[in-house]
Amino acid sequence: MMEKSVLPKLALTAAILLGTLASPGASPAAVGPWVKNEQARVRLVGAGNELGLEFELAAGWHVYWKNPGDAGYAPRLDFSATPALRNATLLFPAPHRIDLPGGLVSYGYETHVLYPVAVELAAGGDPVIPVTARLDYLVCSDQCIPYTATLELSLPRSPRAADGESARLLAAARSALPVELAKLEGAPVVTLSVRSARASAGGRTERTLEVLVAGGSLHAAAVEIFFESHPLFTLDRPVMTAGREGLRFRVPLHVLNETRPLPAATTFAWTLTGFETPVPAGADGAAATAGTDGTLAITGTAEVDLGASLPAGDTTSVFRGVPRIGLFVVACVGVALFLLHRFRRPS
Amino acid sequence: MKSSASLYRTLLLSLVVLGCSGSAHADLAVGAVAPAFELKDLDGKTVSLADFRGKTVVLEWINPNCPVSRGYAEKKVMVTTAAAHPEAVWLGINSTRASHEDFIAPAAHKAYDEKNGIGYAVLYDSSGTVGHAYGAKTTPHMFVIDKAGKVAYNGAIDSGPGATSTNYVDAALTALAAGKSPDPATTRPMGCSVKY
Repeated sequence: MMEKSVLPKLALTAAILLGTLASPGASPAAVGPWVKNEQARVRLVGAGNELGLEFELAAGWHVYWKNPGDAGYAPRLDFSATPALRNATLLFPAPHRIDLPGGLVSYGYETHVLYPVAVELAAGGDPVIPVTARLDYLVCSDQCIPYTATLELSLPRSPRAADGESARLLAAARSALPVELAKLEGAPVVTLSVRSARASAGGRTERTLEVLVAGGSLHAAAVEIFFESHPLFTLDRPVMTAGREGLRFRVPLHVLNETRPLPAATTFAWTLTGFETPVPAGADGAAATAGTDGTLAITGTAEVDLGASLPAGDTTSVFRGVPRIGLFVVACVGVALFLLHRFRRPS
Repeated sequence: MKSSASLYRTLLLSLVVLGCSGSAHADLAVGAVAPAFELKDLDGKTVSLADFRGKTVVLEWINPNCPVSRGYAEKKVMVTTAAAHPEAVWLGINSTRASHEDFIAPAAHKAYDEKNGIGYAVLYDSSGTVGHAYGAKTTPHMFVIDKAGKVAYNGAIDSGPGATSTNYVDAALTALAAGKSPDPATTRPMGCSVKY
């Protein structure tokens, strides 16, 4: 009986000793402890002004991109309990499309994701900053579960202090970030335009965002397009066609608020994923690095003319603007008129 | 001959018309007329939007098995907001399809409502027809319909988790009561996807 009760005590003491040795302050570990639940585990990694929020997800569960799609929300990190960190900004790796029942769609990450977090360090102070962050996140499969977690990290001030694991993780996460179009050599030309058409005088104006991706030296392996949330429109699922001039995406737009006039122009922020670089990344080729899955994502913004003042019933714009819907309606009406005419004549 | 040709014509025409009218589901814009509906409440009583003509109506897409929706119920956010605006009619709509694991029988919903102090009517839309007509995406997803029957607000109940949160629906109802337009009139709804 005695032996049985002593052994666990010894084990406990050993665990406490080990725990003390590994606890924050004893050594500048650049990887924080995991905070776990059934669906995910999450931690902070980092060194210097480069942090990362790392998720490992159980099969079938996902967390979100900055535009989560039809449901969900992106993780929210709050560092207000750590005054040594300022202006923390969560950065988003290239997203994936996750289809949900009922025609709904989410944009996010499955299996594993590391969101880089850009921060500014307050000057002075200890070489190791004890970081505490409040994390609010939603993890979803068909189900969604909101969690609030407190994450901790003993952050070394020097970026060189990152250990092998965290340095590798951060480098991989950095390379999975979409590259700004303007900073990318060999990037395609990306042209955005909004086609507007009114099916009839006084009728509703149908708007379609068109994105043409042409040229460049990147191989368009399995390209998909994503957009950030827009203040004026909801964006339908993009339809892609590959033609001689490049890849063309058509995205029907729906006005969010009919009671307010639209501005003459508006900005769309887009991300194209699934490019491949023809050559492996060069020695200093930050622009030509590839994400964790070997593909490259490009991001950019464009101000687009909304062409708000199209005359009603402008047939040219009907044919040019919404060929699919416009022509279909015209064809249907035509067939109907023809049939009416045809079957009326014998009498 | 003539009557069969006429029948044929009618048939063909109706096929053409059916083919042309199959339109894609679109999001409901602020300013658009709120789609009419008739749904059954937890007692099996029919409730229609037309019953509340001339009143401000709040629609809340609800699912007791969605932790986000349940979280708002347990924190009494909906109930408190509804109580602060007796001028408005608050309706919960559950569009969970009957074959989904989230689906619960009306009796179980009643128990859930009682436990959480939910005194407003909850309507069942298991076919998802009303949910699709409104473009309801999440639980919760909120719509405020003004006295003229037009959509005045479409989006989230509030600005979501975190230390500070703004209750958008409360702000929209306050604006409408003062004869103003809600601002923001649209936000991104947040929560679980509606289980269509």
